[in-house]
Amino acid sequence: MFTFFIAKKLIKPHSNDFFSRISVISILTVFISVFLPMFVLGLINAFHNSLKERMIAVDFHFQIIDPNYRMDDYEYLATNINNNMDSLVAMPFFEGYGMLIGDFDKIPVVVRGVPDFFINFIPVLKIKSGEWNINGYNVVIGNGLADRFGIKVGDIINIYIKTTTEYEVESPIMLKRLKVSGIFVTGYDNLDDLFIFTGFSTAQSIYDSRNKASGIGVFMKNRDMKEYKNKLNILKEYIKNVSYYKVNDWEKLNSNILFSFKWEKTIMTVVLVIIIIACLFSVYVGYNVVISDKKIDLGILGVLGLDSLKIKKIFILKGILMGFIGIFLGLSLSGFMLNNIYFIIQGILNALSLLGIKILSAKIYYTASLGLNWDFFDIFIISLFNMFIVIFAVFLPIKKIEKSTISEIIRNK
Amino acid sequence: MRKIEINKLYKSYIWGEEKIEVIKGISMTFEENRFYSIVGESGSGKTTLLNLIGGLDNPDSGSVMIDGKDITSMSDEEKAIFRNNKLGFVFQFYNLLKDFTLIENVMLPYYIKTGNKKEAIKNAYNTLEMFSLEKKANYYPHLLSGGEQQRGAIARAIINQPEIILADEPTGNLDKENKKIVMGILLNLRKKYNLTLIIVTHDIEIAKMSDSIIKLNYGKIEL
Repeated sequence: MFTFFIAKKLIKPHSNDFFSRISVISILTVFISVFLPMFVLGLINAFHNSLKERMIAVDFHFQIIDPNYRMDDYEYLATNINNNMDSLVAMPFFEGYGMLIGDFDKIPVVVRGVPDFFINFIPVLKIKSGEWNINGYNVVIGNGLADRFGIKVGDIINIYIKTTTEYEVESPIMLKRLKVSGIFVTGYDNLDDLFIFTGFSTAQSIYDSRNKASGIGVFMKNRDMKEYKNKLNILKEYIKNVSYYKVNDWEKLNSNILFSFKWEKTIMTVVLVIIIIACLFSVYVGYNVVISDKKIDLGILGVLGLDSLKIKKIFILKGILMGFIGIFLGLSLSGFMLNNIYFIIQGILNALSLLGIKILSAKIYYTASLGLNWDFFDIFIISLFNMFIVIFAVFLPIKKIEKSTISEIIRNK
Repeated sequence: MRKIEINKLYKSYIWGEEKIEVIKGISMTFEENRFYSIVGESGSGKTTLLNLIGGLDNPDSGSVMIDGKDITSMSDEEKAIFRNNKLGFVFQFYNLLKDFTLIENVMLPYYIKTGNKKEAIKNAYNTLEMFSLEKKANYYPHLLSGGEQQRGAIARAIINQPEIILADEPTGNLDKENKKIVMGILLNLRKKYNLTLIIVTHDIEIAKMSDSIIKLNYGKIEL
């Protein structure tokens, strides 16, 4: 089609004039307004997904809780779930609080009693030193705690705890001495700086709550989070039929942080939309100047037999071409950078370290690679929005000169 | 045979609060296969009349009939098609599109008419050969001399084999030698294709070459 031919000629004009520079600037502007949101949103998505993955990799996917803290039929329930629901693994746990005391420091900690095989379902839990031995009065503590108190494998730690039976209004504070058999690291500060794992029966004993559990923790065997809503409903239905216990899922347990993720993304999207509008406004301003500058060409095309509708089509096509090029470049570069973000950051950090500059703690980058985490909806909306605005920005100035006749346009040359 | 019939044509422009009448009720006829020159002082309405004939401007009132069709009542799209098929325009400043090569400039009217790019290139090349410009087919306009650009503009004007050529000071920007060449081309084309040729000019020598001289004086034909 000749419209495509003319649009193509106008998008990459031969003469290195203002018009060609505006075309390049417009493409670059679209590129920036695609690259920026795709990169930032991709990064946020990746970061959120990474944190969500970590959330579901460090704790139970579902928890069955007794609101009155006196679950005593845990063995029966856990066995029933394990026997009747193939895709789930249930285990009782006991969780209490305490105060870890050092020579010069003290800190509140969570003591969680779990069965020995708990570790098999926490893929990110690595034993940094020692071993996963939670038998007897052995405990495995978080790396953050160990660092803070200078604790090594084989050390005895002192924890003040308060027993938590429902019958005692004022329960005594007791000192418990436990032996550190291992130090774990998950990369998740909530665990590493706060948790101490011991055996389920040991925790019951420490807190003087024999035959009682805080709840039943449930893991999905295949860890497929797409199925979790379905599994949650099945579990809730089952529990509703056999007891008054409550079922919480990992989303509910982490609802505050998940809510903050949503807010973060919403605010970021608003900021990015403002940036996009500002960028694309420059396309509009540029094209207003260009169309004034290019009026004569439009007049000549009119003389040669193009009506205003076809001229409009040419400029819409030109807008689409520029939009496509800009969007393609923006998506390509943001995709490349997101896929290689780890190496890029490492490269920058290494380059800075050669200059003796250290800007961030290495602890921040516990994730090896964020990967490409684009939301298809984000791509669609951002591309569509850019395309619409660039066509609009190119098309609107044309409307202005439509009021002039060809002779007026040529005469004003 | 009557080719163009102008009837009570009026055209004015608004300049600030003032209304300036440029064409004041002109009525006349242009015959087929004849060469007309329109002369007159600056501001007499020569170019405006040519633009009204070519449908590049709209009159306040009156009609311009070409082959029995009133172009003043045509839609924008109809006028564009009409211009593309029936009319060829030549301007003083050539008006070649500077981002297009010479052959691309020449092929455009045919490409717009047929949508056939291959055929348009072939025709444009043949037309350029007629003007000895085939070696400069891929040159951009700024690399061509004034004479070459005007020959290219004439090639573009005739590629669709129009019946009427409207030329606004076609030699106004050329030296003597190129003026001779361009006028020679236009006169040959007129004979070869039985064209109606209407030229707006200040040049009395060119006017003398024409079959009829139309002298405009403040928007009216001077008898």
